[in-house]
Amino acid sequence: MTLKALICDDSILARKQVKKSLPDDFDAEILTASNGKEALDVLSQHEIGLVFLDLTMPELDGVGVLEAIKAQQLKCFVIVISADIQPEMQKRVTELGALAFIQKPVNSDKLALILHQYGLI
Amino acid sequence: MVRLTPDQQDALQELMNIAMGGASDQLARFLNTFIHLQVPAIQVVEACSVPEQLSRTYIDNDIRLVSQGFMGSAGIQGEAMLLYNMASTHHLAAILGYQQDDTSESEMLSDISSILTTTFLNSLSAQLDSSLSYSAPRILSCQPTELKQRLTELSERWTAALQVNIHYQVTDYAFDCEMILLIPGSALATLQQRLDHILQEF
Repeated sequence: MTLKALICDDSILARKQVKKSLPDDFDAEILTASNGKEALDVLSQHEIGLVFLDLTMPELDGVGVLEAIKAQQLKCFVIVISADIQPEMQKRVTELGALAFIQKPVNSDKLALILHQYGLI
Repeated sequence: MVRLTPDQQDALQELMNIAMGGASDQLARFLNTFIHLQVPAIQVVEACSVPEQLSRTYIDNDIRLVSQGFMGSAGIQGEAMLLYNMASTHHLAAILGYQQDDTSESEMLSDISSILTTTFLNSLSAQLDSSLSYSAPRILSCQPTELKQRLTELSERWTAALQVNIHYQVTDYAFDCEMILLIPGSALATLQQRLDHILQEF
């Protein structure tokens, strides 16, 4: 079964940047959400295996999404892609179960490395 | 007056978010605290509309205005203004251990402004493939009656203004400041070209 991946970011440009930065051999169906609330809707309707998650968003922010994923015990990997690079924020999202943290603007080599590292490619 | 297209607005917003993230990280290290980032509201307006609008917004507030010139390649230049609401800035002064006299207040405002302006603009310009140099920050004292006059003097030379509302929520207190980038029409045109270039890449 093909992996379903969700890109969640309030910026259209950022969503496109993530999509374009994915390695060619990353085989997944890509869904998108423009804020945390939309992300939770998608997560409830689809079997999402991997989430690329922005943090600073209107409606519900990335930390809120991570908390919901944890509370609902959803089985999906989360890679945070954010401009909020404060060490305490990186620590917080890791504690909430995020697999990795990538600083914006997203770097395709770093993204590929992490996807390889966790066997997602 | 040139307007940004919705795509350009979205792209600029994202570049600003990234710049804001870097500036906040620096400020958090300086304050030795954690900052809750919010999506900054941005808009492009005519420079001549700024004095009236801001003097109306801040009519009853104790305001300090810090201004810093910047200059880069390809016609990118302008004046970065930071407006501080002193009601919230006094908490910051206390936390940082600045004394309540005028010299220390201006010292603190210079320090914070340097971090906010230069870190923010360095990140923004790097994303636009440019680099900037800066003049020293100037603190313009402004009594409520003087604010409009000061803003008028500053904005007269420029065409467009990029207004960025920044709200910093630090662990147990909030700190508001407003950043206004005054730029000439040529810089706005360059900015739009760079944004289009970025949009074409993705």
